[in-house]
Amino acid sequence: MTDVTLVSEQPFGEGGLVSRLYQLKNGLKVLLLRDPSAPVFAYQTWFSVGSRHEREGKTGIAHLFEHLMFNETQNLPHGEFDRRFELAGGNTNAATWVDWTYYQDDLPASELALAVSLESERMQNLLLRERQVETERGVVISERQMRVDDDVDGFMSEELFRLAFTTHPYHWPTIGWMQDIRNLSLDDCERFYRTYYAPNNATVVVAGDIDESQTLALIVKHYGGIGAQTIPVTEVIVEPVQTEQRVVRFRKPVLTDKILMGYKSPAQHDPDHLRMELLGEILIGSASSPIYRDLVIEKEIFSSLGGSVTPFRDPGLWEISASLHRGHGADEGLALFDQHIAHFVAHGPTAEQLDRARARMLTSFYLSLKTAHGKASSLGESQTTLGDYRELWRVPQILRSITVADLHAVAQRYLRPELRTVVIAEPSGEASDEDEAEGDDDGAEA
Amino acid sequence: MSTTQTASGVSTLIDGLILEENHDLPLCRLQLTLRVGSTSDQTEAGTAASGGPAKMGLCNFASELQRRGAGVRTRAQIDETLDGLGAGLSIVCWHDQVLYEVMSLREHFDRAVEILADVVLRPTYPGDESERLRRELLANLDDLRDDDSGLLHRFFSRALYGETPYGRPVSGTEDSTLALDLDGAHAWHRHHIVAGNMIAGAAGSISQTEVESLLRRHFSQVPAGPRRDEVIPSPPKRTGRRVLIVDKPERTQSQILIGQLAPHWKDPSWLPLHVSTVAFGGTFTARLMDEVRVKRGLSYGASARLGNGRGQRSLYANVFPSAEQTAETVELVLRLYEEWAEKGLRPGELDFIRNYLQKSHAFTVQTADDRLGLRTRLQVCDMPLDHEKTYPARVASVTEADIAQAMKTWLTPDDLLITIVATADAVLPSLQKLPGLRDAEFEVVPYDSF
Repeated sequence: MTDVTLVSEQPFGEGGLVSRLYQLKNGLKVLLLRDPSAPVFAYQTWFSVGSRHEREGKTGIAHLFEHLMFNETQNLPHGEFDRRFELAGGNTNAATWVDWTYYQDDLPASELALAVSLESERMQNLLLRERQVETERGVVISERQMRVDDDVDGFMSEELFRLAFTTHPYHWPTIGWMQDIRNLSLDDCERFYRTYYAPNNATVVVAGDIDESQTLALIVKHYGGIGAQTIPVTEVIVEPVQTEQRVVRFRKPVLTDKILMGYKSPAQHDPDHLRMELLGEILIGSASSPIYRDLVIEKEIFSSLGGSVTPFRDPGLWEISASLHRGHGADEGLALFDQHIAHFVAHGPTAEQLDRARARMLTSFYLSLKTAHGKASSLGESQTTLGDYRELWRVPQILRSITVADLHAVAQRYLRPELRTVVIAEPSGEASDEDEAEGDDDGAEA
Repeated sequence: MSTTQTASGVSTLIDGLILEENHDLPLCRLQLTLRVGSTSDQTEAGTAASGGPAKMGLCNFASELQRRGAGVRTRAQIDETLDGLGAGLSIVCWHDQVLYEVMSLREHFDRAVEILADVVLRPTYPGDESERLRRELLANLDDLRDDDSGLLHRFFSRALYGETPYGRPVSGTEDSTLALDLDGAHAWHRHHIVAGNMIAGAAGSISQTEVESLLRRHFSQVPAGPRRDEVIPSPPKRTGRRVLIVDKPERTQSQILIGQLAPHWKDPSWLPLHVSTVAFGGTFTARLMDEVRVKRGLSYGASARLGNGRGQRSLYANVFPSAEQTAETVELVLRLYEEWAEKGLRPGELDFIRNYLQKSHAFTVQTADDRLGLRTRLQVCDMPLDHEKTYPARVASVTEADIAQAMKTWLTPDDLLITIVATADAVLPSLQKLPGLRDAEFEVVPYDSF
């Protein structure tokens, strides 16, 4: 097939599966994984555009546009896109985050042609109309109310990133500020579509019970004629080094204090990223983790404690969330948490702690690859965020190679008070009518 | 415990073993499922097991406490050993069943199963962990106050099922949690952890011979004993429309369930009504989503669901509009519900949804874990064991007449429970003006009154 080039291939695990990356002449990347273990497949389209590509005043456009992609096209009347997928027994959905937007279809094995046909159609022939923008605006407002405005955890997450990032676009939420959502126009949406939804800005991932040659031929037939576009170079924005801890407090209708904090953490491509994940797993990832055991189980200061490292293209945060038990306050919890961090920075982990966390992370890694959907998502995200799907299978290799000394060094590099931002929610009581921010972002110490 | 009892107990587990073998990934899973869940807290068996009056939350409390010390290990030692293996051990209590499950890489599975056996068969029920768990459960109730969707389902169930078992929350209330004790937990364990009351299942990279060997080695002490499940009573029927507003301050959005009692899973009406419900609100293109979200943008989500289980469950529609659009949305959903009940499915809807359900069934049974879960659930609910395999054919055979009969028998648009988590002052006046709620019974309760 001359219209497509095999770029690379790699075994997918140790069970005989192979993933292959192809590229069409128009720049479209196609990542295929034949896995006949169930008569289904996952079809995903990953666009290298997310909320980081927005600008102030237009926040939320990537997410709003994702909603619009389920509407009318030149060859499909309104509602027909979803109807055809459902008629075939499939499910379709999408997600937008800071670095990417992806569209996912899960279908029975017999329906490959449908997926290729409909996805290529909306990549090139979407019709945008005023009425649809207005309707989806209402839906997005409803989504924002559910996830942020009426959800204290969502609210705190938004505030954490707003405060932690002063310059980088990670400052604003992917769903967008409410004022911006209300002001986005049809023209904004059309411009966004023409700018970013092009084959040379996308990777199609197909995993499951497929015939690889047939899949490739279908994709060439349906996507081969779509023209490439000039994709704006993603601006390199470097967040200034944080030099002081930032703390803000809010009064919210909660019964006990809540804390959400974030340490500045490495970008996903950075070798330190996986080390940071392992470090987090050691400290708070399970019931035997030292901070979890001490503050949740033994001292019962926190009723819950969890965390994760953001899988972002640029440096992000190690986020840690905690809810306090009745009778204990956020400041008390933070002080005890900090004692553990100081001890860890001074001494590093033990070999046993490292081995336990490593074993847990390896199990989680394999669990994430159980379904066709999970396999496609992992491949697509690696290709889009890291630039190479083959990075996925480096994860178990790297995990096995990380040493106690590696983690000790990472702790000393990143677990520094001046790199931390803290958001605290305290009970407002019955009479509170509005959120009241009591702190600011000028370096108040917790 | 006699040798005879032990031997027969293991045989019972092995005879009923459900295995879904798959060697694609080096992961193994073993489950033991009790044929009862928190509904036993309210039955005579639950009363007997607790050694006194039935105690809400006992099943959840006693089962969770099992992993807080078992065999020769303390809770910390169990946690550390599991972590060292990269294994996960979970205990989940629902209304209908309790699940004990361990999962690990194949190379560590034998040791992981050994710990599961200790937890299931030999819990030590330490007093300090009992008190700690009680405090955890109370903290979980504190956290529930921040979860509007969780509040919605809890209040809806309480109002719909009343004093019957599904009306009582699995984890109990603050008062019931304070009343739980170790004697009750011990009695619960003696009563329920018997082979006839358990279903063994395995999935992943493991063979029948290997699972049987594991069970024989690690579960040889499982006592023989009968099933402990009992018939779950149905709640009394209520007439008229009821509006329950769960009043929570500072809500910009209302979480809403509109529903009623539904037929039992075993009832012949269940499948036709299920097909009709999916057509009404079970997919993205269903009429509920189309009218509420696609045409009007009133709510991010709009869905309808018909429940199933060991007892009679509910049918409900779920939407979450802004506070300002709450009355408009409730009025719309009520009108759609009435139209659905009175006129049935629209032309083309039946063919469309039958096709969707038959083809999408592949995803329900996609992985070995999925199949294990489904087969276990069927056994717990005493459903035919080929139920999932015959599902596509049975859906294909559902006729318009079947659906019309099921809807006529079961849908009661005049007798609906409408539960709304919202700021009452913001939504109550406009709701009271709706013509469809003119004769409704309104009740406003504080969001933390559970």
